[in-house]
Amino acid sequence: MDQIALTLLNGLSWGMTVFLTAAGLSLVFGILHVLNFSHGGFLMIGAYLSYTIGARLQAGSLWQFLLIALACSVAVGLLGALVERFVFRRLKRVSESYSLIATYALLILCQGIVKVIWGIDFLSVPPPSELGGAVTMGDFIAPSFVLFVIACGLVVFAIMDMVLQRTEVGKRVQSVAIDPWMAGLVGINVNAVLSWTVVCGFALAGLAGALLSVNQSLSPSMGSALIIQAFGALIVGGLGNIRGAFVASVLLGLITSFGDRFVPDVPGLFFFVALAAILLIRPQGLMRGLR
Amino acid sequence: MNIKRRDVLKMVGAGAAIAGSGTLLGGIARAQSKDPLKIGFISSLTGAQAPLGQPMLVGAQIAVDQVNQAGGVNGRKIELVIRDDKAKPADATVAARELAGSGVNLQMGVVSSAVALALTAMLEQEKAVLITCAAHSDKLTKENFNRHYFRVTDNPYMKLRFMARAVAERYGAVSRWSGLIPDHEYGRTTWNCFEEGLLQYYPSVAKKEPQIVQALKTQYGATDYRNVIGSAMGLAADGFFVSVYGGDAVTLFKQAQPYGFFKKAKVVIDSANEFVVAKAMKQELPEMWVGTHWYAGAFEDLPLSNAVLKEHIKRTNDPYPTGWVGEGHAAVMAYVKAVQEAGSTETQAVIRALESVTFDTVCGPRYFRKEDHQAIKPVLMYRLRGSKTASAGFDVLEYIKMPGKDFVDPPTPGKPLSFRFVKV
Repeated sequence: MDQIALTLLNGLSWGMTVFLTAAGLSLVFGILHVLNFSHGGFLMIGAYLSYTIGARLQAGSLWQFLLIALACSVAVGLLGALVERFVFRRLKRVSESYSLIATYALLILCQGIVKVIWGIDFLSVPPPSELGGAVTMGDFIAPSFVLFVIACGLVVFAIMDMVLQRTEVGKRVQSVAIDPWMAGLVGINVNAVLSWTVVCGFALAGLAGALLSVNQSLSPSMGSALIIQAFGALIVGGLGNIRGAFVASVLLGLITSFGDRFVPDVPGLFFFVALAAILLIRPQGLMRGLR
Repeated sequence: MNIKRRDVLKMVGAGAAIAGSGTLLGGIARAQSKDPLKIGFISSLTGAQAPLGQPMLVGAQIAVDQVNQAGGVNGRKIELVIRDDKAKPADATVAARELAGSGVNLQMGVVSSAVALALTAMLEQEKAVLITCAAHSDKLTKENFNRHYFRVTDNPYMKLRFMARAVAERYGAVSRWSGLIPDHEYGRTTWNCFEEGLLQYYPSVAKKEPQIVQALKTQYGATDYRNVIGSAMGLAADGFFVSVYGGDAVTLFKQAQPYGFFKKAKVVIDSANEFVVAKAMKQELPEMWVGTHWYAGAFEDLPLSNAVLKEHIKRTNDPYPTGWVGEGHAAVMAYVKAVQEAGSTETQAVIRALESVTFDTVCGPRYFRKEDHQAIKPVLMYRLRGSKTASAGFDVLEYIKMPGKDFVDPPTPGKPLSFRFVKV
């Protein structure tokens, strides 16, 4: 029983890790229709920034860690503003293949920047003291970070969903996503919506990078590992759909977790099995369009 | 087309060279004899394996500078011609062919076994020699052996049997063992070699039968290892062998801490992460024994080891060089001694010399076994623990060093590695 509960918890934390990575990616795709390959690169920059700021301030508490994560989010959001101004804006009038090439080039640029500033050696961000331990109930062990990352995923999803579904800003964003020409006609500043969407998408990458930095090693290739899973969630969930990405992340997380646990001879395989199976059943993804 | 007289001369020269005119080539060789002796350095300088390839390069460069300061080889300076293989066999073969084609027949480096296997297949045709400083696949000195290939570092069989022997001697009471290994050939080989050592040395040294629980496989490059850690927590084992490496090992250890894995595990043996994981995790690093190819603290009686350490600190400001620095250094030293002995850089002459010379390295004198070109060198490991007070963030608590010849497999080139105790 404990084993099943542990696997369930691991699946949820895996899913939330993927959702945190996929959230910004999904937002940008849903509204700009740009598949941002560099998302993992900017997430990685968020993680490295959190390493540097944390080490400089010798931060050790949860509150400091959260403040640093917000600062990283803002910093990467600002980088997003630059990317929007100098790259994404130029991609509007060209075919989609150009956006793939441009964002892939940005990813390589991110890796180069990380190598120049932080070097190629692996780095590790120590967890704040509150997240280093575990909550135990009898034989059942729940690492504090696992609970924390699940909470972060839920909070980020709740805020994004609320803003997109229940606020006027959200309605405007949706209208731009569905028909930018018509949205412009009724007086919505389409360019501003697009710019802010990119900034928010990148800020989410920075936030995810900083929050997840204590979970794994930092290296110039860390962005690629996470982003493959995030793309999986995006495809399964329905491209550009935040609710779809959330449901898909949780579903893929649970299937991967139970698969890895009960068929341990093929670690990691179940993610791809789940991906293929879901797409065979629902080729259009779990949900469609921006909701 | 305007062909000048000089072009015609060039063409005639090239044609003569292709025809293989011995006298003309001999003449060229004599004319160039005071040119620098070029050694091709092919290794992973970018990509996921760069943390191994870069220190290898530092070691090789230190050796080159030391040899040149001492007057060079047979009056010639040496020079590294550096190529990045990005851990890709295709890139490596292009680099090796290009180097061999431009007369750089003595080559070294290589992190990845896949790269080494691809290169060895073409060495004979390209009339080149390769000394690898990592590339631990047993196939290289076994079923895929080729006379043009040499491994200057220890192999997993000797190193891991040594580690098992040291564990049996030190921790005889910890006799229930399992492992966490990467899900590819390297993971399985390392586990088999370590298990072979446990099955041999626990009965003979600890006077106890070991209980082996099959090692758990982990996904290469994963971001989440919690399920495998959960499974490990349920195993009836109190000693754990880990051959997960690099960033994956950092992630694994970080995620294992909250589960109390390092309390459950009385002894943790990390096969080959040297100081890489310790430098990343710093004070977070749990106590463990870690395999290494060279630790300067274990060779303080050797002036060469001390000199390389001093030079490493001067160049990188890092007082904890990894063993790959030592192996990069050793490969250059092997070529230097062999070329001195052979009096030539001609491939066959250098191969014959490499088979017979003993050369100085940071781990003391070393030689290649004639039969399979495996180097015989000391094997060692150190016990590391994160520390809040140490300037590096961790302490080297102690080390164990033993002669490699006591643990190495018998030379059987052309035949696969066989085990006496493990059923593969």
